[in-house]
Amino acid sequence: MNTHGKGKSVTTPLSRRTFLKRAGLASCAATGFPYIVPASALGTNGTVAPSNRIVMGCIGTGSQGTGNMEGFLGFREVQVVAVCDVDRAHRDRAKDIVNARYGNQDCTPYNDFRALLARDDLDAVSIALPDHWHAIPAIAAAKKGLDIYAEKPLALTIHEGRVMSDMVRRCGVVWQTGSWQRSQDHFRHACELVRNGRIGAVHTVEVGLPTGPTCDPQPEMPVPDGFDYDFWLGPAPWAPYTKERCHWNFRWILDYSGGQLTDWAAHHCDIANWGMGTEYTGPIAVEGRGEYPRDGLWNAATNYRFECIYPKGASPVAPDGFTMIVSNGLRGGAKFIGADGWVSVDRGHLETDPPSLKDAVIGPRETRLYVSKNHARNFLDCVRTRAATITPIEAAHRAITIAHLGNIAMQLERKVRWNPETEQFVDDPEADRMRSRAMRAPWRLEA
Amino acid sequence: MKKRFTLTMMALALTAQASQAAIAAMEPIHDAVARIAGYRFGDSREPLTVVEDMAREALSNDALREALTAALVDLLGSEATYESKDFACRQLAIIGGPAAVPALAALLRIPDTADMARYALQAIPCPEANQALLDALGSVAEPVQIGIINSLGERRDAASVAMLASYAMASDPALAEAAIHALGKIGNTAALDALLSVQPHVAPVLRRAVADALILCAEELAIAGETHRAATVFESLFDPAQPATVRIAAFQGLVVSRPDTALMLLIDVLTGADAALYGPAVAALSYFPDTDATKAVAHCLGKMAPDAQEMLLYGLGERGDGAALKSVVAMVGSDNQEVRIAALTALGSLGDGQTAHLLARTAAQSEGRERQAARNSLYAVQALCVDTTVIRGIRREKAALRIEYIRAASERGIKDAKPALYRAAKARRVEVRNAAYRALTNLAGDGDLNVALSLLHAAKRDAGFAEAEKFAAAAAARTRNTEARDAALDAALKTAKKEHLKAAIQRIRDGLATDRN
Repeated sequence: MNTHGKGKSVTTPLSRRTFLKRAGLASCAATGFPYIVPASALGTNGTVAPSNRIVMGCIGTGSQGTGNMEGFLGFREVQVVAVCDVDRAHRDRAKDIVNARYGNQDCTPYNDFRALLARDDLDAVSIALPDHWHAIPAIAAAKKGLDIYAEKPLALTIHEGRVMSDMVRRCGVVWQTGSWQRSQDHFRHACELVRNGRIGAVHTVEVGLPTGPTCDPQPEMPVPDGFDYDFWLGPAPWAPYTKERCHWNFRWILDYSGGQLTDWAAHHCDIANWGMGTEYTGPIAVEGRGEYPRDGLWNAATNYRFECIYPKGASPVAPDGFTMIVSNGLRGGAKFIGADGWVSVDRGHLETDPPSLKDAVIGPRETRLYVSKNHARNFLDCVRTRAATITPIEAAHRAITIAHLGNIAMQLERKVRWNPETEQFVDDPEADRMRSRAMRAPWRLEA
Repeated sequence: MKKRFTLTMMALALTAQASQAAIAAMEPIHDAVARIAGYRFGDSREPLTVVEDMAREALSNDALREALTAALVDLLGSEATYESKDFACRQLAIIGGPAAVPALAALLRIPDTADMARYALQAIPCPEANQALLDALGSVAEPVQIGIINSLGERRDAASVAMLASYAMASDPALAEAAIHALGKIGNTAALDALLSVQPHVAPVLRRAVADALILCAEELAIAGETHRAATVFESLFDPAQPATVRIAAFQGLVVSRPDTALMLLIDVLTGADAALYGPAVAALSYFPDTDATKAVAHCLGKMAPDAQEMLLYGLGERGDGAALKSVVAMVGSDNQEVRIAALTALGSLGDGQTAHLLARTAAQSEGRERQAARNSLYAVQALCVDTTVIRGIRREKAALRIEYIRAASERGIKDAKPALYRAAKARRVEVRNAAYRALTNLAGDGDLNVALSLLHAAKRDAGFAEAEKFAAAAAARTRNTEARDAALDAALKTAKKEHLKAAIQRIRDGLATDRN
């Protein structure tokens, strides 16, 4: 064992995973101890924010982004000074909300996130954009040393998620993913019951997600006044404007998202990973069937079911390995099924078998999971204390990777084998091609 | 039900010698591809999905793959619509090989189709694709050039390093920046050499890009085992003149690539003035799992700035190595409240029986976040003797300190504390009694009802009576033998003389009836 000043030199190659572990990622991400740096030390102006004030900019002010922004406006220590959206209507509405909150006209609206990030007074940003725009602004913000609250699902592709997670680690910034179910007591309690063996060895986890929608073919339309549509497309392949392509409905189109599958897997697969203790690994094989609309604008899977195989050793509560089934044909939420019972959890419900298990108390000598009572509060606390948040980026990456693997296996209509250490498919070059996508120039995935 | 083309028989024909049969078998492919040549956005996608099905089947059928690639390549060279070529590029991104490259290379030179050509070329893993990208680089306009450079970077094409190095010196900053990033992604020794030669000459606006690219190269070198060279690069970037995020990345790299001096570096950072590095240094402590490392850093706590102390204390708490206990306890006396809170929090995982008393005393004497930190740790500390300390505290201590122990018994679920709590429930001070009753309510179980009713009988009719009633109600609700429970309540009701006591017992009975409903 290495001791103070007596370690042997590394002369053999490291795995990428080992490098990350040694750089401190694995431990801090897993346990949540402070590993980051004072925001004042990262800021470009080098000054300490007065009275622990957290100066924020909000990138993406559609329905989700505005909701997040209004949440942050409710915290006294937060001052939102800038909003950004490529849709002028969204941008101006957000600006008006901020100015009304503070009773002034100080909020600056931006069309281009790069202009917002060029400000020298920001401590943090809230990002709520379509999935194809998740990586680029987040990486740019991390390079600026800004702390980031970002919407789920983490990334459009597996490769983007890996690069984002590496960059956040490299830059030492605080990251909170908008997978807020972790900040609900009953989700945590469900996961603690599983983690502490209350249902025995787990053999199956069922993850129920919504069914995807369809729509007819859509005509090309004039771009609405005030909407910078080319910027909205950004790194995605060019396509003509039509109303049902943009804003909320982007998520039903595979160029911009992964459908209901990725939208909700970022919540429920994340909880499944939290309960199983598989937040920093993944399955070794994925197989399933998906129905992708054969006509109309939206092309993400409507009905889907796939199974992920986890080997022995992947989870501390599944000594023989387990299967995670992800489908829109299951009850919503995550259901953990073990040798001695089951735990089913979703928004608004926690059910167990036996029923008394629901009220079981987790003792001080048992495994306790990270406690957060409010997701935004947790982020702001971590901005101040420099602790890791309850939903660190690596966990978000691993959760959404499950959905990406499912989409790839279903699109290829065959079983794919996956190496969660190298994050590459096993003997499957075509599947490997689907881990990433070329971006429209001039956009790139900076690392 | 999804329509599917089953092409296995056709593919068998293609592999056969009979050329006539092969030509005949090609017809469905050509027909399907011909049907998409006029496709425009807004049309039905049905014809596209037919070709998609073929592409999927082609992944396990080499002959079909070859034929479909050829048909899609023909389409790319035809007068087909932009939309159909867009679609063809997407299919070739998955099934395409060297045969698809020339047609894609041609599209690369047309601004409108260059992005979709790259969509395919970036994904196709053959050297011909690299060469096509490189060949086009000098003959296209800037937006396309940037896209090509980005793709060369994503493909980590080692053969393009020399060309990219020349673009890294371009007078156009956008082009130069793209090339610098691409070199970083390639990340091999040649790319590193190119970046180091470019570094002194780049415009100030590109210095950050060079630093980021150097970090990437150094990480790749470390992963490949070239730790000495990697460390040299990291060291050059571990410089106060670099942005904080670069210094952090360089520090992480140094820890990995120079393990023999990493702990000393870590301690230097924690006792230094660069606050940006405190957190990463604490995180890097996980690289040294042994107790000697714990002692070494904990020993230096007194020499650190409060920010560093605070972060290290949280880190030591998570580390859970008792070797840090003495140093952490000393920090509970810090002048800085944040440091005290961090130390108290760390004791939640490091503490022992003696620490429990310190935590209880601090909880009793402090307020706000400090009190909460002390309480949280008192409730969480795992040493077995802590429960004994808590019970003893309930028996021996007074007032505020006694209340803290009572709360701890409740939160820790110490059932053995019940006798001590029964005594506390008769204390003179109503605050102590109330705390004891709340704890007993939380701990109530089968078999507690008689004691609970007895305490209720004896309870004073003051602010504490309501809590005594809650305990009795909880004990009644958790009594499994319902006949015995009802009998006990009936008996208690009969012996109760005071009206408020009778009313309380009646409420308990009513509550049980409501639960049954």
